[in-house]
Amino acid sequence: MENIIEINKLDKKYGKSDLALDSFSITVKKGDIYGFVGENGAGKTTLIRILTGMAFPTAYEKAEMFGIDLRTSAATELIRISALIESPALYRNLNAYSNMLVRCKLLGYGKERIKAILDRLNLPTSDKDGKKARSYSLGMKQRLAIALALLPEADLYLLDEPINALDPEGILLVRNIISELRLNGKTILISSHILGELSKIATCYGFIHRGKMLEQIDANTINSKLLKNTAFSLSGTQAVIDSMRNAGITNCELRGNDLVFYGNLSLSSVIHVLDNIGVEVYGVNTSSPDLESYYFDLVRKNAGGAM
Amino acid sequence: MKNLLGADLLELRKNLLAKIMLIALVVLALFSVVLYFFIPKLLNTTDSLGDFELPQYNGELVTFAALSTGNNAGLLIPIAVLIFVAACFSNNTIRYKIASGRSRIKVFYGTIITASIYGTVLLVAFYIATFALSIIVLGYGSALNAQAIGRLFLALLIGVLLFIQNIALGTALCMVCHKLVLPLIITIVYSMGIGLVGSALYASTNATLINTMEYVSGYASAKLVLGDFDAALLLKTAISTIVFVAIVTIPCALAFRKQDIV
Repeated sequence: MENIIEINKLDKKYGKSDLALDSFSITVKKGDIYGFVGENGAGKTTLIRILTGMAFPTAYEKAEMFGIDLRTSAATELIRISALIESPALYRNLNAYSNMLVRCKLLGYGKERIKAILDRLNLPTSDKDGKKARSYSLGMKQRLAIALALLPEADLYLLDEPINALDPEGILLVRNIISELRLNGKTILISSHILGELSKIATCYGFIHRGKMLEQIDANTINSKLLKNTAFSLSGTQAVIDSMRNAGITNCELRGNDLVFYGNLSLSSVIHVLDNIGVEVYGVNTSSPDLESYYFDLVRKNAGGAM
Repeated sequence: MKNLLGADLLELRKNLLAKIMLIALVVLALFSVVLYFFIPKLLNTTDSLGDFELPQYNGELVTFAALSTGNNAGLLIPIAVLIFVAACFSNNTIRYKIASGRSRIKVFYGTIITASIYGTVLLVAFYIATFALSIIVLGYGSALNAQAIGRLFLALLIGVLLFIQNIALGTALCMVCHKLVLPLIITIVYSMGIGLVGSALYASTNATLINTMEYVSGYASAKLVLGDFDAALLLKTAISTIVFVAIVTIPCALAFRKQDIV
Protein backbone atom coordinates (compact mmCIF):
# COMPACT_ATOMS: atom_id res chain seq x y z
CA MET A 1 0.00 0.00 0.00
CA GLU A 2 1.22 3.47 -0.85
CA ASN A 3 2.78 5.50 1.97
CA ILE A 4 1.27 8.96 2.16
CA ILE A 5 3.71 10.12 4.83
CA GLU A 6 7.13 8.60 5.26
CA ILE A 7 9.48 10.26 7.69
CA ASN A 8 12.70 8.86 9.06
CA LYS A 9 14.83 10.48 11.77
CA LEU A 10 13.50 13.97 11.56
CA ASP A 11 14.69 16.62 14.00
CA LYS A 12 12.96 19.88 14.70
CA LYS A 13 14.34 22.54 16.96
CA TYR A 14 12.74 25.92 17.65
CA GLY A 15 15.51 28.48 18.19
CA LYS A 16 17.80 27.48 21.05
CA SER A 17 15.25 25.33 22.83
CA ASP A 18 15.30 21.54 23.11
CA LEU A 19 14.37 19.37 20.19
CA ALA A 20 10.62 19.42 19.64
CA LEU A 21 11.02 16.36 17.44
CA ASP A 22 14.00 14.14 18.10
CA SER A 23 15.02 11.61 15.50
CA PHE A 24 11.32 11.21 14.81
CA SER A 25 9.95 8.62 12.40
CA ILE A 26 6.44 7.98 11.17
CA THR A 27 4.81 6.09 8.33
CA VAL A 28 1.20 6.68 7.38
CA LYS A 29 -0.33 4.49 4.70
CA LYS A 30 -2.98 5.56 2.25
CA GLY A 31 -6.46 5.03 3.63
CA ASP A 32 -5.37 4.86 7.26
CA ILE A 33 -7.04 6.62 10.12
CA TYR A 34 -3.85 7.20 12.05
CA GLY A 35 -4.32 7.90 15.74
CA PHE A 36 -1.51 10.09 16.98
CA VAL A 37 -1.18 9.88 20.77
CA GLY A 38 1.09 11.83 23.06
CA GLU A 39 1.16 14.13 26.06
CA ASN A 40 1.02 17.93 25.87
CA GLY A 41 4.18 19.22 24.26
CA ALA A 42 5.14 15.81 22.87
CA GLY A 43 5.54 17.17 19.34
CA LYS A 44 2.25 16.23 17.67
CA THR A 45 1.36 19.75 16.60
CA THR A 46 4.95 20.39 15.52
CA LEU A 47 4.74 17.48 13.10
CA ILE A 48 1.44 18.72 11.72
CA ARG A 49 2.91 22.19 11.27
CA ILE A 50 5.82 20.72 9.32
CA LEU A 51 3.52 18.69 7.10
CA THR A 52 1.35 21.73 6.35
CA GLY A 53 4.28 24.00 5.50
CA MET A 54 3.89 26.16 8.60
CA ALA A 55 7.26 25.07 9.97
CA PHE A 56 10.45 23.61 8.52
CA PRO A 57 12.37 20.60 9.77
CA THR A 58 15.86 21.19 11.15
CA ALA A 59 17.27 17.98 9.69
CA TYR A 60 16.10 14.60 8.49
CA GLU A 61 17.20 11.40 6.88
CA LYS A 62 14.00 11.01 4.89
CA ALA A 63 10.83 13.06 4.83
CA GLU A 64 8.34 12.48 2.06
CA MET A 65 4.71 13.27 1.57
CA PHE A 66 2.91 11.76 -1.42
CA GLY A 67 6.30 10.39 -2.40
CA ILE A 68 7.88 13.83 -2.74
CA ASP A 69 10.65 15.08 -0.49
CA LEU A 70 9.55 17.96 1.74
CA ARG A 71 12.54 20.02 0.63
CA THR A 72 11.75 19.80 -3.05
CA SER A 73 7.97 19.59 -3.02
CA ALA A 74 6.25 22.61 -4.47
CA ALA A 75 3.83 24.69 -2.47
CA THR A 76 1.14 23.37 -4.80
CA GLU A 77 1.39 19.96 -3.11
CA LEU A 78 0.01 21.54 0.03
CA ILE A 79 -3.45 21.78 -1.51
CA ARG A 80 -3.64 18.00 -1.23
CA ILE A 81 -3.69 18.44 2.53
CA SER A 82 -6.32 19.94 4.78
CA ALA A 83 -5.54 20.58 8.39
CA LEU A 84 -7.11 21.58 11.65
CA ILE A 85 -4.25 22.72 13.86
CA GLU A 86 -4.81 23.29 17.57
CA SER A 87 -7.13 26.22 18.19
CA PRO A 88 -9.63 27.07 15.44
CA ALA A 89 -8.37 29.43 12.74
CA LEU A 90 -11.36 31.64 12.01
CA TYR A 91 -12.01 34.99 10.41
CA ARG A 92 -13.38 36.38 13.65
CA ASN A 93 -15.25 39.35 12.17
CA LEU A 94 -17.12 37.25 9.63
CA ASN A 95 -20.05 34.87 10.03
CA ALA A 96 -19.81 31.14 9.30
CA TYR A 97 -20.88 31.44 5.68
CA SER A 98 -18.42 34.26 4.97
CA ASN A 99 -15.60 32.31 6.62
CA MET A 100 -16.26 29.47 4.20
CA LEU A 101 -16.65 31.86 1.28
CA VAL A 102 -13.26 33.46 1.88
CA ARG A 103 -11.65 30.04 2.06
CA CYS A 104 -13.42 29.01 -1.16
CA LYS A 105 -12.07 32.11 -2.86
CA LEU A 106 -8.56 31.31 -1.65
CA LEU A 107 -8.78 27.80 -3.04
CA GLY A 108 -10.43 28.88 -6.29
CA TYR A 109 -13.57 26.88 -5.50
CA GLY A 110 -17.17 27.75 -6.24
CA LYS A 111 -19.53 28.20 -3.30
CA GLU A 112 -21.73 25.20 -4.06
CA ARG A 113 -20.55 23.04 -1.15
CA ILE A 114 -20.64 25.67 1.56
CA LYS A 115 -24.23 25.30 2.73
CA ALA A 116 -24.14 21.52 2.72
CA ILE A 117 -21.03 21.40 4.91
CA LEU A 118 -22.33 24.06 7.31
CA ASP A 119 -25.66 22.31 7.54
CA ARG A 120 -23.97 18.98 8.30
CA LEU A 121 -22.17 20.62 11.22
CA ASN A 122 -25.31 22.41 12.49
CA LEU A 123 -23.94 25.85 11.75
CA PRO A 124 -25.83 28.87 10.36
CA THR A 125 -25.97 28.59 6.58
CA SER A 126 -27.10 32.11 5.74
CA ASP A 127 -24.79 34.69 4.23
CA LYS A 128 -26.82 37.34 6.08
CA ASP A 129 -26.43 35.82 9.53
CA GLY A 130 -25.47 38.65 11.86
CA LYS A 131 -23.58 36.57 14.38
CA LYS A 132 -19.83 36.72 13.82
CA ALA A 133 -17.40 33.94 14.57
CA ARG A 134 -15.87 35.89 17.45
CA SER A 135 -19.12 35.57 19.42
CA TYR A 136 -19.54 31.84 18.81
CA SER A 137 -19.29 29.37 21.68
CA LEU A 138 -16.18 27.18 21.85
CA GLY A 139 -18.13 24.28 20.39
CA MET A 140 -19.43 26.32 17.47
CA LYS A 141 -15.95 27.67 16.76
CA GLN A 142 -14.65 24.12 16.68
CA ARG A 143 -17.45 23.06 14.35
CA LEU A 144 -16.67 25.95 12.03
CA ALA A 145 -13.00 25.04 12.07
CA ILE A 146 -13.94 21.48 11.11
CA ALA A 147 -16.17 22.82 8.35
CA LEU A 148 -13.26 24.86 7.01
CA ALA A 149 -11.05 21.77 7.16
CA LEU A 150 -13.62 19.76 5.20
CA LEU A 151 -13.95 22.33 2.44
CA PRO A 152 -10.94 21.33 0.35
CA GLU A 153 -11.11 18.08 -1.59
CA ALA A 154 -7.89 16.90 0.03
CA ASP A 155 -6.16 13.53 -0.04
CA LEU A 156 -4.80 13.86 3.48
CA TYR A 157 -6.57 15.32 6.50
CA LEU A 158 -4.53 16.33 9.53
CA LEU A 159 -6.82 16.86 12.49
CA ASP A 160 -5.27 18.14 15.70
CA GLU A 161 -7.68 17.60 18.61
CA PRO A 162 -10.78 17.74 16.39
CA ILE A 163 -13.30 16.92 19.11
CA ASN A 164 -12.16 19.57 21.60
CA ALA A 165 -15.12 21.45 23.07
CA LEU A 166 -17.67 19.37 21.14
CA ASP A 167 -20.81 18.01 22.72
CA PRO A 168 -21.61 14.26 22.41
CA GLU A 169 -23.61 14.89 19.25
CA GLY A 170 -20.69 16.77 17.76
CA ILE A 171 -18.27 14.00 18.68
CA LEU A 172 -20.46 11.41 16.98
CA LEU A 173 -20.75 13.65 13.95
CA VAL A 174 -16.99 14.01 13.64
CA ARG A 175 -16.56 10.27 14.05
CA ASN A 176 -19.01 9.65 11.20
CA ILE A 177 -17.36 12.25 8.98
CA ILE A 178 -13.96 10.69 9.52
CA SER A 179 -15.31 7.23 8.71
CA GLU A 180 -16.88 8.56 5.52
CA LEU A 181 -13.64 10.22 4.49
CA ARG A 182 -11.87 6.91 4.87
CA LEU A 183 -14.51 5.15 2.82
CA ASN A 184 -13.83 7.73 0.10
CA GLY A 185 -10.18 6.72 0.05
CA LYS A 186 -8.86 9.60 2.11
CA THR A 187 -6.12 9.34 4.69
CA ILE A 188 -6.62 10.91 8.08
CA LEU A 189 -4.13 11.60 10.83
CA ILE A 190 -5.83 12.51 14.12
CA SER A 191 -4.09 13.64 17.24
CA SER A 192 -6.23 13.43 20.33
CA HIS A 193 -6.01 13.16 24.08
CA ILE A 194 -9.40 11.49 24.24
CA LEU A 195 -8.10 7.99 23.73
CA GLY A 196 -11.44 6.28 24.19
CA GLU A 197 -12.83 8.15 21.19
CA LEU A 198 -9.71 7.50 19.16
CA SER A 199 -9.92 3.78 19.84
CA LYS A 200 -13.35 3.70 18.14
CA ILE A 201 -12.07 4.82 14.75
CA ALA A 202 -8.31 4.54 14.39
CA THR A 203 -6.88 1.83 12.20
CA CYS A 204 -3.39 2.32 13.52
CA TYR A 205 -1.60 4.33 16.17
CA GLY A 206 1.58 6.23 16.75
CA PHE A 207 2.65 6.96 20.31
CA ILE A 208 4.89 9.96 20.73
CA HIS A 209 6.68 11.07 23.87
CA ARG A 210 9.07 14.02 24.23
CA GLY A 211 9.57 14.33 20.50
CA LYS A 212 10.27 10.67 19.85
CA MET A 213 8.04 8.06 18.29
CA LEU A 214 7.82 5.27 20.85
CA GLU A 215 5.80 2.84 18.80
CA GLN A 216 3.70 2.54 15.69
CA ILE A 217 1.16 -0.23 15.78
CA ASP A 218 -1.97 -1.21 13.95
CA ALA A 219 -5.31 -1.43 15.75
CA ASN A 220 -5.67 -5.19 15.43
CA THR A 221 -2.30 -5.82 17.02
CA ILE A 222 -2.85 -3.40 19.85
CA ASN A 223 -6.23 -4.86 20.67
CA SER A 224 -4.63 -8.24 21.14
CA LYS A 225 -1.86 -6.79 23.25
CA LEU A 226 -3.77 -4.50 25.59
CA LEU A 227 -3.03 -5.41 29.14
CA LYS A 228 -5.50 -6.36 31.80
CA ASN A 229 -5.55 -4.03 34.81
CA THR A 230 -5.78 -5.47 38.29
CA ALA A 231 -6.45 -2.91 41.02
CA PHE A 232 -6.03 -3.61 44.74
CA SER A 233 -7.88 -1.25 47.07
CA LEU A 234 -5.61 -0.78 50.09
CA SER A 235 -5.93 0.37 53.68
CA GLY A 236 -2.81 2.50 53.35
CA THR A 237 -0.20 3.22 50.78
CA GLN A 238 2.94 3.86 52.80
CA ALA A 239 6.07 2.51 51.08
CA VAL A 240 3.96 0.23 48.86
CA ILE A 241 5.73 0.99 45.60
CA ASP A 242 9.20 0.78 47.11
CA SER A 243 8.36 -2.54 48.71
CA MET A 244 7.08 -3.86 45.38
CA ARG A 245 10.26 -2.72 43.65
CA ASN A 246 12.40 -4.40 46.27
CA ALA A 247 10.46 -7.59 45.58
CA GLY A 248 11.16 -7.21 41.86
CA ILE A 249 7.59 -6.26 40.99
CA THR A 250 7.71 -3.21 38.74
CA ASN A 251 4.54 -3.27 36.63
CA CYS A 252 2.47 -1.29 39.10
CA GLU A 253 1.56 2.21 40.12
CA LEU A 254 -0.43 3.95 42.83
CA ARG A 255 -3.64 5.70 41.92
CA GLY A 256 -4.90 7.20 45.14
CA ASN A 257 -5.50 4.25 47.48
CA ASP A 258 -5.48 1.75 44.63
CA LEU A 259 -2.44 -0.22 43.66
CA VAL A 260 -2.82 -0.97 39.94
CA PHE A 261 -0.96 -3.72 38.14
CA TYR A 262 -0.58 -3.94 34.40
CA GLY A 263 -0.43 -7.29 32.75
CA ASN A 264 0.54 -10.51 34.42
CA LEU A 265 1.10 -10.57 38.13
CA SER A 266 2.04 -13.13 40.67
CA LEU A 267 -0.81 -12.87 43.16
CA SER A 268 1.04 -14.70 45.90
CA SER A 269 4.09 -12.40 45.62
CA VAL A 270 1.92 -9.31 45.78
CA ILE A 271 -0.04 -10.53 48.81
CA HIS A 272 3.19 -11.52 50.52
CA VAL A 273 4.67 -8.03 50.08
CA LEU A 274 1.49 -6.34 51.26
CA ASP A 275 1.37 -8.60 54.32
CA ASN A 276 4.95 -7.75 55.21
CA ILE A 277 4.30 -4.03 55.22
CA GLY A 278 1.04 -4.42 57.07
CA VAL A 279 -1.26 -3.10 54.38
CA GLU A 280 -4.68 -4.67 54.14
CA VAL A 281 -6.51 -5.28 50.89
CA TYR A 282 -10.16 -4.28 50.90
CA GLY A 283 -10.96 -5.27 47.35
CA VAL A 284 -9.63 -6.44 44.03
CA ASN A 285 -10.85 -5.24 40.66
CA THR A 286 -9.92 -6.23 37.14
CA SER A 287 -10.77 -3.86 34.35
CA SER A 288 -11.01 -4.10 30.55
CA PRO A 289 -7.91 -3.21 28.66
CA ASP A 290 -7.79 0.26 27.14
CA LEU A 291 -5.59 2.49 25.09
CA GLU A 292 -4.87 4.80 27.98
CA SER A 293 -3.21 2.09 30.06
CA TYR A 294 -1.27 0.89 27.02
CA TYR A 295 0.03 4.42 26.43
CA PHE A 296 1.02 4.97 30.09
CA ASP A 297 2.74 1.60 30.13
CA LEU A 298 4.65 2.46 26.96
CA VAL A 299 5.80 5.79 28.37
CA ARG A 300 6.76 4.16 31.62
CA LYS A 301 8.84 1.52 29.88
CA ASN A 302 10.50 4.23 27.85
CA ALA A 303 11.25 6.21 31.01
CA GLY A 304 12.63 3.05 32.64
CA GLY A 305 10.40 2.98 35.68
CA ALA A 306 7.08 3.86 37.26
CA MET A 307 5.47 7.23 36.49
CA MET B 1 -2.32 35.45 -7.05
CA LYS B 2 -5.75 36.52 -8.32
CA ASN B 3 -7.53 34.25 -5.84
CA LEU B 4 -5.19 35.26 -3.04
CA LEU B 5 -6.01 38.94 -3.57
CA GLY B 6 -9.66 38.14 -4.18
CA ALA B 7 -9.93 36.32 -0.86
CA ASP B 8 -8.31 39.17 1.05
CA LEU B 9 -10.50 41.78 -0.60
CA LEU B 10 -13.57 39.65 0.03
CA GLU B 11 -12.61 39.44 3.68
CA LEU B 12 -12.25 43.23 3.75
CA ARG B 13 -15.56 43.79 2.01
CA LYS B 14 -17.40 41.68 4.54
CA ASN B 15 -15.52 43.05 7.52
CA LEU B 16 -17.56 45.52 9.53
CA LEU B 17 -14.40 47.05 10.96
CA ALA B 18 -13.29 48.13 7.49
CA LYS B 19 -16.61 49.87 6.95
CA ILE B 20 -16.40 51.53 10.35
CA MET B 21 -12.96 52.82 9.44
CA LEU B 22 -14.32 54.43 6.27
CA ILE B 23 -17.00 56.20 8.28
CA ALA B 24 -14.45 57.23 10.89
CA LEU B 25 -12.29 58.82 8.20
CA VAL B 26 -15.22 60.79 6.82
CA VAL B 27 -15.96 62.03 10.35
CA LEU B 28 -12.28 62.90 10.76
CA ALA B 29 -12.43 64.83 7.48
CA LEU B 30 -15.40 66.82 8.76
CA PHE B 31 -13.68 67.45 12.07
CA SER B 32 -10.49 68.61 10.34
CA VAL B 33 -12.34 70.96 8.00
CA VAL B 34 -14.29 72.48 10.87
CA LEU B 35 -11.07 72.94 12.81
CA TYR B 36 -9.43 74.65 9.86
CA PHE B 37 -12.46 76.95 9.69
CA PHE B 38 -12.72 77.88 13.35
CA ILE B 39 -9.16 77.85 14.70
CA PRO B 40 -7.78 80.80 12.67
CA LYS B 41 -10.88 82.83 13.48
CA LEU B 42 -10.56 82.01 17.17
CA LEU B 43 -6.83 82.63 17.46
CA ASN B 44 -6.86 85.79 15.39
CA THR B 45 -9.42 87.39 17.71
CA THR B 46 -7.19 86.81 20.74
CA ASP B 47 -3.84 88.31 21.59
CA SER B 48 -2.13 84.94 21.80
CA LEU B 49 -0.42 85.33 18.44
CA GLY B 50 0.62 88.95 18.92
CA ASP B 51 0.86 90.71 15.57
CA PHE B 52 0.98 87.42 13.64
CA GLU B 53 -2.22 86.49 11.91
CA LEU B 54 -3.07 82.95 10.82
CA PRO B 55 -4.13 82.64 7.18
CA GLN B 56 -7.70 81.74 6.40
CA TYR B 57 -7.47 78.25 5.05
CA ASN B 58 -9.22 77.43 1.82
CA GLY B 59 -10.43 74.17 0.36
CA GLU B 60 -7.40 73.74 -1.87
CA LEU B 61 -4.86 73.91 0.96
CA VAL B 62 -6.96 71.82 3.31
CA THR B 63 -7.44 69.14 0.65
CA PHE B 64 -3.70 68.91 0.01
CA ALA B 65 -3.08 68.83 3.77
CA ALA B 66 -5.23 65.70 3.96
CA LEU B 67 -2.42 63.85 2.21
CA SER B 68 0.04 64.41 5.03
CA THR B 69 1.62 61.16 6.14
CA GLY B 70 2.67 62.55 9.50
CA ASN B 71 -0.67 63.25 11.18
CA ASN B 72 -4.43 62.65 11.14
CA ALA B 73 -5.32 60.13 8.48
CA GLY B 74 -1.63 59.68 7.80
CA LEU B 75 -1.43 57.84 11.11
CA LEU B 76 -4.94 56.40 11.29
CA ILE B 77 -4.78 54.70 7.89
CA PRO B 78 -1.63 52.66 8.59
CA ILE B 79 -3.17 51.68 11.94
CA ALA B 80 -6.30 50.39 10.20
CA VAL B 81 -4.29 48.55 7.58
CA LEU B 82 -1.89 46.92 10.00
CA ILE B 83 -4.74 45.79 12.27
CA PHE B 84 -6.15 43.96 9.26
CA VAL B 85 -2.78 42.47 8.27
CA ALA B 86 -1.85 41.37 11.78
CA ALA B 87 -5.25 39.74 12.27
CA CYS B 88 -4.24 36.87 9.98
CA PHE B 89 -1.60 35.96 12.56
CA SER B 90 -3.69 36.50 15.67
CA ASN B 91 -6.55 34.54 14.06
CA ASN B 92 -4.14 31.96 12.62
CA THR B 93 -5.86 32.35 9.24
CA ILE B 94 -2.39 32.80 7.69
CA ARG B 95 -2.44 28.99 7.63
CA TYR B 96 -5.06 29.02 4.91
CA LYS B 97 -2.94 31.23 2.69
CA ILE B 98 0.13 29.08 3.16
CA ALA B 99 -1.88 25.90 2.62
CA SER B 100 -3.51 27.30 -0.51
CA GLY B 101 -0.77 26.06 -2.81
CA ARG B 102 1.06 29.34 -3.27
CA SER B 103 4.68 30.03 -2.43
CA ARG B 104 5.51 32.03 0.68
CA ILE B 105 6.82 34.85 -1.53
CA LYS B 106 3.46 35.10 -3.28
CA VAL B 107 1.64 35.08 0.06
CA PHE B 108 3.93 37.85 1.28
CA TYR B 109 3.58 40.13 -1.72
CA GLY B 110 -0.11 39.32 -2.01
CA THR B 111 -0.54 40.73 1.48
CA ILE B 112 1.52 43.82 0.61
CA ILE B 113 -0.70 44.43 -2.41
CA THR B 114 -3.92 43.94 -0.42
CA ALA B 115 -2.68 46.27 2.29
CA SER B 116 -1.77 48.88 -0.32
CA ILE B 117 -5.20 48.61 -1.94
CA TYR B 118 -6.94 48.90 1.42
CA GLY B 119 -4.83 51.89 2.42
CA THR B 120 -5.41 53.55 -0.93
CA VAL B 121 -9.17 53.12 -0.68
CA LEU B 122 -9.15 54.67 2.78
CA LEU B 123 -6.94 57.53 1.65
CA VAL B 124 -9.06 58.26 -1.42
CA ALA B 125 -12.20 58.23 0.73
CA PHE B 126 -10.61 60.64 3.20
CA TYR B 127 -9.31 62.84 0.40
CA ILE B 128 -12.64 63.07 -1.39
CA ALA B 129 -14.50 63.67 1.88
CA THR B 130 -12.05 66.44 2.84
CA PHE B 131 -12.32 68.01 -0.61
CA ALA B 132 -16.11 67.94 -0.63
CA LEU B 133 -16.51 69.22 2.92
CA SER B 134 -13.87 71.92 2.56
CA ILE B 135 -15.56 73.26 -0.58
CA ILE B 136 -18.78 73.57 1.38
CA VAL B 137 -17.29 75.04 4.57
CA LEU B 138 -14.27 76.99 3.33
CA GLY B 139 -14.75 77.43 -0.39
CA TYR B 140 -12.05 76.22 -2.80
CA GLY B 141 -10.05 79.44 -2.74
CA SER B 142 -9.45 79.66 -6.45
CA ALA B 143 -11.25 78.73 -9.64
CA LEU B 144 -12.19 75.06 -9.64
CA ASN B 145 -11.40 74.57 -13.29
CA ALA B 146 -9.89 71.68 -15.25
CA GLN B 147 -6.37 72.70 -14.24
CA ALA B 148 -7.34 72.71 -10.57
CA ILE B 149 -8.96 69.28 -10.92
CA GLY B 150 -5.78 68.06 -12.62
CA ARG B 151 -3.72 69.32 -9.71
CA LEU B 152 -6.04 67.64 -7.24
CA PHE B 153 -5.66 64.36 -9.10
CA LEU B 154 -1.87 64.77 -9.35
CA ALA B 155 -1.71 65.47 -5.62
CA LEU B 156 -3.73 62.35 -4.91
CA LEU B 157 -1.39 60.19 -7.01
CA ILE B 158 1.66 61.54 -5.19
CA GLY B 159 -0.09 61.09 -1.85
CA VAL B 160 -1.03 57.49 -2.63
CA LEU B 161 2.57 56.67 -3.51
CA LEU B 162 3.81 58.20 -0.27
CA PHE B 163 1.24 56.29 1.74
CA ILE B 164 2.19 53.04 0.02
CA GLN B 165 5.73 53.46 1.31
CA ASN B 166 4.52 53.57 4.91
CA ILE B 167 2.02 50.78 4.40
CA ALA B 168 4.60 48.54 2.75
CA LEU B 169 6.99 49.15 5.65
CA GLY B 170 4.38 48.29 8.28
CA THR B 171 3.00 45.31 6.40
CA ALA B 172 6.42 43.82 5.71
CA LEU B 173 7.33 44.12 9.39
CA CYS B 174 3.99 42.59 10.41
CA MET B 175 4.58 39.60 8.15
CA VAL B 176 7.97 38.99 9.70
CA CYS B 177 7.13 39.77 13.33
CA HIS B 178 3.69 38.05 13.17
CA LYS B 179 2.44 40.74 15.50
CA LEU B 180 0.87 44.19 15.40
CA VAL B 181 2.38 46.41 18.07
CA LEU B 182 6.06 46.63 17.17
CA PRO B 183 5.52 47.08 13.41
CA LEU B 184 2.87 49.71 14.16
CA ILE B 185 5.15 51.65 16.47
CA ILE B 186 7.99 51.53 13.97
CA THR B 187 5.72 52.64 11.13
CA ILE B 188 4.26 55.55 13.08
CA VAL B 189 7.64 56.67 14.40
CA TYR B 190 9.09 56.47 10.89
CA SER B 191 6.11 58.34 9.44
CA MET B 192 6.29 61.17 11.92
CA GLY B 193 10.05 61.26 11.97
CA ILE B 194 10.56 61.41 8.23
CA GLY B 195 7.78 64.00 8.05
CA LEU B 196 9.55 66.20 10.60
CA VAL B 197 12.85 65.87 8.78
CA GLY B 198 11.20 66.74 5.49
CA SER B 199 9.42 69.74 6.94
CA ALA B 200 12.61 70.99 8.56
CA LEU B 201 14.55 70.69 5.31
CA TYR B 202 11.81 72.35 3.30
CA ALA B 203 13.18 75.75 4.24
CA SER B 204 16.52 74.98 2.58
CA THR B 205 17.40 76.89 -0.57
CA ASN B 206 20.25 74.59 -1.65
CA ALA B 207 19.27 73.41 -5.15
CA THR B 208 21.24 70.13 -4.98
CA LEU B 209 19.77 69.30 -1.61
CA ILE B 210 16.27 70.10 -2.83
CA ASN B 211 16.72 67.89 -5.88
CA THR B 212 17.91 64.99 -3.72
CA MET B 213 15.41 65.49 -0.93
CA GLU B 214 12.50 65.28 -3.35
CA TYR B 215 13.23 61.57 -3.44
CA VAL B 216 12.67 61.38 0.32
CA SER B 217 9.07 60.83 1.31
CA GLY B 218 9.02 63.32 4.20
CA TYR B 219 10.24 66.15 2.00
CA ALA B 220 7.92 65.22 -0.85
CA SER B 221 5.06 65.11 1.63
CA ALA B 222 5.92 68.59 2.91
CA LYS B 223 5.91 69.94 -0.63
CA LEU B 224 2.66 68.20 -1.40
CA VAL B 225 0.84 69.48 1.67
CA LEU B 226 1.91 73.07 0.92
CA GLY B 227 0.75 72.81 -2.67
CA ASP B 228 4.31 73.10 -4.00
CA PHE B 229 4.33 70.15 -6.42
CA ASP B 230 4.37 69.29 -10.11
CA ALA B 231 4.54 66.27 -12.43
CA ALA B 232 8.30 65.98 -11.80
CA LEU B 233 7.58 65.32 -8.12
CA LEU B 234 5.20 62.53 -9.16
CA LEU B 235 7.96 60.85 -11.17
CA LYS B 236 10.49 61.22 -8.35
CA THR B 237 7.98 59.89 -5.83
CA ALA B 238 7.21 56.91 -8.06
CA ILE B 239 10.92 56.09 -8.29
CA SER B 240 11.48 56.54 -4.57
CA THR B 241 8.43 54.38 -3.78
CA ILE B 242 9.65 51.53 -5.98
CA VAL B 243 13.13 51.70 -4.45
CA PHE B 244 11.89 52.05 -0.87
CA VAL B 245 9.36 49.24 -1.18
CA ALA B 246 12.02 46.97 -2.70
CA ILE B 247 14.55 47.77 0.03
CA VAL B 248 12.02 47.16 2.77
CA THR B 249 10.16 44.18 1.40
CA ILE B 250 12.81 42.00 -0.20
CA PRO B 251 14.71 41.16 3.01
CA CYS B 252 11.40 40.68 4.84
CA ALA B 253 10.07 38.41 2.08
CA LEU B 254 13.20 36.29 2.20
CA ALA B 255 12.90 36.04 5.98
CA PHE B 256 9.21 35.14 5.78
CA ARG B 257 10.01 32.41 3.27
CA LYS B 258 12.03 30.50 5.84
CA GLN B 259 10.16 31.30 9.02
CA ASP B 260 8.28 28.91 11.24
CA ILE B 261 4.79 30.25 11.79
CA VAL B 262 3.59 29.05 15.17
